[in-house]
Amino acid sequence: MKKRITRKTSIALIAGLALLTAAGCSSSDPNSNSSSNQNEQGSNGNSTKGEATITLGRVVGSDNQFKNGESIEDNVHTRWAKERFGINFKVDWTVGTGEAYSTRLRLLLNSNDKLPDVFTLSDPTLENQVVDSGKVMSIDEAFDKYASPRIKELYAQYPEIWNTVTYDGKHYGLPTFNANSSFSVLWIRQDWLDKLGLKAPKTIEEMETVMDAFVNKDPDGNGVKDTIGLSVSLKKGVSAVKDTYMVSSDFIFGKKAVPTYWTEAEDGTLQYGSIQPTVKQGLAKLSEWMSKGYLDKDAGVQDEAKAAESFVQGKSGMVFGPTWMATYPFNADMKFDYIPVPIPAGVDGNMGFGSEPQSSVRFYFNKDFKYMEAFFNYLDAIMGPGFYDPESELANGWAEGYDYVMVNGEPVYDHDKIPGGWIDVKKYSIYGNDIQTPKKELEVMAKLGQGIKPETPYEKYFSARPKKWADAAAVLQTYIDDAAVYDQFTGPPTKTMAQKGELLRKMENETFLKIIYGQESPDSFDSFVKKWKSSGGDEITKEVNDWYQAVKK
Amino acid sequence: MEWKKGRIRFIRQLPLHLLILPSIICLLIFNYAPMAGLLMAFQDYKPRLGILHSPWAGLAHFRYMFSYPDSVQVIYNTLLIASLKIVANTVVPIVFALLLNEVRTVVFKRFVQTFVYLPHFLSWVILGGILTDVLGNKGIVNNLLSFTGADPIFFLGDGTWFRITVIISDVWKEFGFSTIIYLAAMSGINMALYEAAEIDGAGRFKQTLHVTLPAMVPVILVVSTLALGNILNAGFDQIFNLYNPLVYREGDIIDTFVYRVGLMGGSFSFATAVGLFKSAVSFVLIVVSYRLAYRFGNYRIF
Amino acid sequence: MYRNTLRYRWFASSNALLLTVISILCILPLVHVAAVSFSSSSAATANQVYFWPVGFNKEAYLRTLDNPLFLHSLVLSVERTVAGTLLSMMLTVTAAYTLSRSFYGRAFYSWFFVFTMLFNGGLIPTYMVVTGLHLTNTLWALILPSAVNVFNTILMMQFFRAIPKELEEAAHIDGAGYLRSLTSIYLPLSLPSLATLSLFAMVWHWNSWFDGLIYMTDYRQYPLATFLQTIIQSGDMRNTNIDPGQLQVLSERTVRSAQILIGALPILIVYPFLQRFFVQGLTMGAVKE
Repeated sequence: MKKRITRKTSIALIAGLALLTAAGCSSSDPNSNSSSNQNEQGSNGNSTKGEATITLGRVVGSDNQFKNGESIEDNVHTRWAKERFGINFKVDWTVGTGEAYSTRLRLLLNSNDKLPDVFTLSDPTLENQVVDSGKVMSIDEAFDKYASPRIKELYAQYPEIWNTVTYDGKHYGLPTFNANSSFSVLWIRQDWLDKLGLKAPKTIEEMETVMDAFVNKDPDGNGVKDTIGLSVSLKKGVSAVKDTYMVSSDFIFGKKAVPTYWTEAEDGTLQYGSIQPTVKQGLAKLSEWMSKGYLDKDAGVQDEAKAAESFVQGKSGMVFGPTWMATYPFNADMKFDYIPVPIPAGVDGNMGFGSEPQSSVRFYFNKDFKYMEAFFNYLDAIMGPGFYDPESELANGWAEGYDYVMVNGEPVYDHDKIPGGWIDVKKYSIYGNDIQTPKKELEVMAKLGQGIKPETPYEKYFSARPKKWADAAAVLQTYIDDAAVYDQFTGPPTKTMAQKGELLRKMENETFLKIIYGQESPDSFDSFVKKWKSSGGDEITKEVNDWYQAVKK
Repeated sequence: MEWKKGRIRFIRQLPLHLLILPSIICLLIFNYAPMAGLLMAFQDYKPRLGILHSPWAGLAHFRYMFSYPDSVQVIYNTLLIASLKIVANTVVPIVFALLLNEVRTVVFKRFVQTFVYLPHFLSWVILGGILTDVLGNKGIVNNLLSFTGADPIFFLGDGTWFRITVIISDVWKEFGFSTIIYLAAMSGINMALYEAAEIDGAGRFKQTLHVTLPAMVPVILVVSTLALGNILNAGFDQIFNLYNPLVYREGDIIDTFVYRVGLMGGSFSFATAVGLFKSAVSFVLIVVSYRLAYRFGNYRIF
Repeated sequence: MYRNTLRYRWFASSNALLLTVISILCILPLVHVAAVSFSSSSAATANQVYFWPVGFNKEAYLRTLDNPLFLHSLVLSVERTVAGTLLSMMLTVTAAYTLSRSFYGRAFYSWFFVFTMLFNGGLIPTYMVVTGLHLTNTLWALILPSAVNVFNTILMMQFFRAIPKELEEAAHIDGAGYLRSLTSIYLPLSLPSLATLSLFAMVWHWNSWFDGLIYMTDYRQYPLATFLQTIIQSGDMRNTNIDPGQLQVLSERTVRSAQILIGALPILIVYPFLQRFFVQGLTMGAVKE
């Protein structure tokens, strides 16, 4: 496709010069961009029910594959949506990465261009601006009218999921659920335990015994003291999955407080985890471990992948992280015996760790969008797999001949058996993935981990995953409900956060790391707390609680 | 009389104006027109209202920047790291170009030149990983140091060493690429000058000092003056991939700071204000060095 | 001759040694990256690869090269680089020539240029100008906004100034205008600098990926550098509901390494051809007389 300068472009260039003399840049004339769109909406107005056009922006990464000459606009899934729900997906634009998707939405918003009919966002700051711009609609009415019973039931079961999109009691977007099925377990070297005659630790004290043996009793038998007890990544501070997606250290702090998480105190208000007394105890422990050589001296400069290396290489005895570490960074070349075990109880005597949020992604709807009914019908259908509904028409897979084939009445997921190659059809959907529901995936995986024979299509599908992943799920299921701590502040950054949040977080990371590295004594934690409160922390706490009260209503 | 002279002069020089016109038009459209966006620095910019209607904030964002407890430290870090980088990234390529110039074997010269220019193509994401390994407690550098009996150095976790690492690794990555400019400058030197110097009995060192270097001065002056434009850019990608809470005090720079403020919900307006401040400082420095070069060397840098 | 003195010979050999060591220090990381790119992903994840592939395989390259979009993006990149470099060099040469003359208005023009090096309006306004001119999805969006390279222009002006004025004056007496003297005197005498600055422009165009990402509204029209970004950033990260498959793609060291080599290779191939101009500079200088 050769691109030549057209007369139109050269005229535009001259016009641009003229524009310049007027007021600098301003292409905020919405007509220039949406003329085609207006025509379309005209025809939409007259359209009968069952004909719904939804304009979209799409992420088409290099992991989106196509066959049979299909494209993101026209493929087996869009034809299915058209046939079943009368939906025409119209792709306004495509981008290659998820990051570029939010960049484009940001640009469209700021240059006053047309936003797609339906789009997703995962950045509360940007979401706040989008709602503030008045370009998206509240969905309460549509949700009440069109959402399917099982969707209504799900959202009623977890009402706090609405918090991020709640403004003045109205809901301006539709949050989607995370799977909440992976975080977190402790991976440990069973062979080392056996060799040293130890058992998997259940408390911090037992953990110290194990780590001491792992470091000082040469568990790998090479005669060199080159092993570490626990792999952790501290490059982004002492943080949980929000900042450090694996190899973090939050389980040490127990359940009462997780660093960087806002949790509900006994009096019903939200309190900031990093300033609670148990965190001081946890930091003191980490500091002790660092000085005793249980942790890697380089932990402070290593990111997640780098910190995980030592375990993968067989030089570390333990690592804390999600169940899926069994597929990455672990791999089949690790020729030693390691197993998932429950996390030890933290310094407060309870098992606890920072969970992934309940929702990371929210749907938003252009205020001119008219086809909420079609959307909700479609949504219910594509959420079938997320509900792990055996009756779902997508139960076996998203499209036969693409992500599965039927052999003797049984779905087969073997990539080689699918003519023309395996295609991940769920990436064609409006969400670009499965829309999960809480802990359902964990249930299925845990069953497999307990050695139950796969029955449902979902169980069959997951049985292709590494056995260790299923094992980890079975372990995690036993304590996830007791130990998972959710960050309950899910709104956009508050006013003081925007002004002082960076300062406070920097101070926190710096103090914590210096304590761990023994450059400051654990007592400097107390002066940190004082300084945190006086430098804006108290205001932030107040604002966070104001927000919490407002959304809870 | 005067205006007539001016007009004649203008007509005579008209072709020059026409030659530069396309560039001027491009700059007007793609550089000057967007500068309207700088107004955001003085506003409480809201996407809903746009640049034209957002409320004015005056100098509030600038005041905020300077009232920030860490700002002095961060600006100091930026200035220190950036200016050391500017000096090193000027001196090293010049010295290297001079050394390379002494090589007579063309093939060897070409190989060296190609090799040193390669690191320019590596990204800091990759180099960050490599440096963490090489400089780690059990990394190769500390292994070598241990032969001398020295204690291991925590290169990326100790403030002073962090700065040194940042500067050296940046020079290592870029010097080969910058050398090319000076080689091009040297290629214009008149051989007769060397012959004359040789007849005067000058050795190679004196020839370099009195013939090669003076001929390179104009290019050196331009490159180093324009480099002042980066006096507050200490290299975001590099620092971002290498830094950690242990070296915040010595390693945090303006750009990483603005990035973190952005993560916490900071505004476009604030980021724009910081950017404008950086530009203004660079601009003043460039104007000053231009003036100095003109007054003391009677030399126009550009 | 100084070259025969003992001191110089001693200098020459230690110089050669020093340059060799420096070259090795510069090439080793690239060798490492190349080794990683040909290794198995598990060996790379465990960081067990040094300077030779472990568990040799070409998977990382296949993933990029087998992608149906690869060839198209390569073509787009070549187009963009050629067109962008030509346009940029044309503007550089004409503007630099003008700025190297002394005439009324020169000082204004040079500050007009330098100012844009320092101040810029940022992403949003620039985007609005480019979309306002309907340049999105054309090659122009990638080459026009950066067509004037101020750094190159000022450098070129410096090189032009070094050319003796007498040559041009002689030409003027022969009746040559500005354009003639530029094309027949200045350009032929500036081959080393032209080669150098073209190289800079080329490398810049070849490597820039962000403009492709925002000005192309169809992922099939990405130039190579942008396309390679989609390989390593990949995935629909809208769904931060962390998906290990995606994470694996993201942090795949082999793919990342292959991406660097695929991206840099074309420039590395062009380099020796341009190198002729500045390595053999000394003899060129002699020719000038």
